[in-house]
Amino acid sequence: MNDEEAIKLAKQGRQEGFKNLFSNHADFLFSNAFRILGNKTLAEDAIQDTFSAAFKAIASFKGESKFRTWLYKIMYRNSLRIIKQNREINPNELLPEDNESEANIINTKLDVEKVLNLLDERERSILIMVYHDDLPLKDVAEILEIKENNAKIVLYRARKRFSEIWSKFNEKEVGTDEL
Amino acid sequence: MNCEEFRNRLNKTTQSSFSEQEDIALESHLNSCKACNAWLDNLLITPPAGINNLSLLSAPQKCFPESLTENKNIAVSEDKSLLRTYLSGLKYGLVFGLSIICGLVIVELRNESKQNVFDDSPQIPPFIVFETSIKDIPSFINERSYANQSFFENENSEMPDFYSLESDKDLNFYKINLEEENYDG
Repeated sequence: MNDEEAIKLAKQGRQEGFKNLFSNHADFLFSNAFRILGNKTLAEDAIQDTFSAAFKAIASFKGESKFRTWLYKIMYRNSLRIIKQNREINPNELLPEDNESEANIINTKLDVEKVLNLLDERERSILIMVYHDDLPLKDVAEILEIKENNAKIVLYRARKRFSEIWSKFNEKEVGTDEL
Repeated sequence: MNCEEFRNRLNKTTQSSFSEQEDIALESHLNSCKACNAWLDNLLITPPAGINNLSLLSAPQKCFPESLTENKNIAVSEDKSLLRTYLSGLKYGLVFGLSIICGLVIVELRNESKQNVFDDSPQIPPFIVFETSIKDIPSFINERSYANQSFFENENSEMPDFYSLESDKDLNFYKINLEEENYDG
């Protein structure tokens, strides 16, 4: 079932509409949230909150932007809120990172994840959204709440940083700790 | 900022040297330069090596909101809210209509009571014509006594001094009257 039909059903309050919307977008959102937050549990919370908020507000969705863009926007805000809350609780610590076994359970390719974790949230998100999720730059700019040309500059910078670290990481000249 | 400077500065900026002002300067050049825009678009098409290795993670089913049972009734609650709006509108409409009816009834009652008062009062012919003429005015009212009375009534008032108004022809008879009275006295 495509988004349009699922949204119609969801607006009528039908369970299958919600389930279809969830199955169409949950994996993309979860992947992105996990990479922003670096923690599986927090990512699950972020996704649950995102879908909960989206389903409650489904009646107000007018279709001016794509449904996925709308969901990403909610997810990105939720993730930033969680990061902020965690920093308030543990100001000297970054987000708790999943251990390797946990990461293996969800089949991540650790090398890329480690490199991404060295970037900041915005750089990480923009790289994933543009190159992994194939979202248009215009939509990404809308999600990040910046102008399109600013998004290009952020993406260029993120891309450059990622490439530099990735090449160093693969050559094993230096460990990621020294980066 | 020219194109060369833009490209150099964009290459030099890293996360550590990033500043908002720098970003604004770069963005303003990008807004005005089509060549740099095209150059950057072209660069950004190719994904960086390694990023394709990212896999799509599957979201656990427990991420599906538990509170969806509440959401089942979204459409229903929407209908309910519409019904509530309609009912409240109807309520206000009824109150408005009733107040108008009450007002009309009160006005009607007042008119009726007025009518009753007129009905109870003795019948008076609608038009009474008093036929009067100058001849009917009593003879003791003449010009002189009226004038004297007016003068003495106003003697202690703050009316203007009549003696100073000798030149006023209209007031001459007041003066004459006064002189006559003084002579008599």
